[in-house]
Amino acid sequence: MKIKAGFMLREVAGNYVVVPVGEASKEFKGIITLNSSGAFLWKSLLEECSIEELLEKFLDEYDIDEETAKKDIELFINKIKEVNILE
Amino acid sequence: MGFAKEEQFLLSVIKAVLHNKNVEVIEEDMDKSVLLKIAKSHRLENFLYYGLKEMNLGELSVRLAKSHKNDVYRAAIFAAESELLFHAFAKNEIKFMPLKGLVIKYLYPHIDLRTMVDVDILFDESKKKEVKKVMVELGYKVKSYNAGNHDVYLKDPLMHVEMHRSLIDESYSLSQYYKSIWNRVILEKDSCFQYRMTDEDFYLFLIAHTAKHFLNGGTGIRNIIDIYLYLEKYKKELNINYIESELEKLGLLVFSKKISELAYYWFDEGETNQILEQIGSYVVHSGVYGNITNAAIINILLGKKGKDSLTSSKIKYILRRIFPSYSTMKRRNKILKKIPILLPWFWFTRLLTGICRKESRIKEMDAIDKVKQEDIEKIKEIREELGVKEKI
Repeated sequence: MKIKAGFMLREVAGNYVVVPVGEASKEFKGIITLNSSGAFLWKSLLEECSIEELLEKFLDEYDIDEETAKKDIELFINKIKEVNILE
Repeated sequence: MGFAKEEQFLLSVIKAVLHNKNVEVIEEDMDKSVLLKIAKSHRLENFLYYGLKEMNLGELSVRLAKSHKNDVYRAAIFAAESELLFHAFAKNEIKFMPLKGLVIKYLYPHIDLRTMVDVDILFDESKKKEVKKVMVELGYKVKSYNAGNHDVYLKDPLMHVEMHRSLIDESYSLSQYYKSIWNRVILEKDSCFQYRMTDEDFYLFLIAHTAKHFLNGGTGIRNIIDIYLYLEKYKKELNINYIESELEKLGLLVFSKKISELAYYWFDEGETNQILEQIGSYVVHSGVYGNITNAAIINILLGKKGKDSLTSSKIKYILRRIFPSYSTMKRRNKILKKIPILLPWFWFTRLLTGICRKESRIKEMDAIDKVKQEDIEKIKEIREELGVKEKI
């Protein structure tokens, strides 16, 4: 899986904001805000990445147990699937 | 004119935020709705948000948090869209140079503190058709093309891009100085098409741009913050001799000194005097982009000749507004260069447009009607103290 083209992540004053640009801005009218771990997952998904690979990267980056990491990733994936920006 | 308590407080909050401090006390009898209104008129609500965020100020805190969120979104959208534009211009081999807020925002403690309503970019005029094509391909709509000194492109939800063919419109005498700007620019690192001004020229433009607004309708607190932050960042490295000799050529040396003194009085440890108080009051009461009252006073003042009475000066100004000169109309409607006989037609269409915008025209007429001789004298005194008597 991978984030669809046409979205840019920008950090402004400690806030992570995803902005639709180009063609994507015609279909997606909102703005997504992420926390720092959400931004990490977003960046990881800019390239094709499986759930297992995502989990591995997440555990390398954050000092948390596997169970919590799985829940966080699931929550994140569901959210971005809801707004249809995952390929 | 003087400073209301809320105006003084807003300035102290800005100073605190610029120095990474929180404000810990707000006087009980401070009128928070007035404070917010003044901040809004200068697009500085976000300074209030950062300065007062540790305090629970009820409705004011809620409104500031909401406005902060909007400013963060705007800053993110502007940053992302600007990056796309820069990339597209480079790909299409179009020389360009980001201006004003696009550059200065990085000197603020957070980029969202430097609010922007539009993106300003100078480009190589010979590429205006290519620029139009790029903008349309990126989903922008053309709002105006080939009129004045810039083309305007819009894109929902909030992008407003001004693509400048020249730095300053020909109606200002300052425009002559900037005709050769492309000979004085530097290529950005790792780019073949993106340019920037030297640090000295950027400061000169900051002053010229501030002066253009200040002397023609007023300028807001934000421009004074820009100047303060720029000087704080670069003052030790700037070639002051070059800057002063160029400001002398522009007739803005005194203006620059007084405005930077005001900036250091407001936001640092600078001292004040009577003229700085007057200039400061004029800025605080101007709003972010000046206002129609100031514009009316200045235009009546500049159009006044010899023993003209106030009433006849006002009538002359109204006539100039309804029937601008051929040179002004020619700049706005390029076809008049080829077919000058069409001038009455364009006056007529201008009148019709004016009737359609009835509300703003009524406001403008009301502002002209209310101008008093003492208003003219005050502005005249400020201009004389700043060493600028004529239109720049």
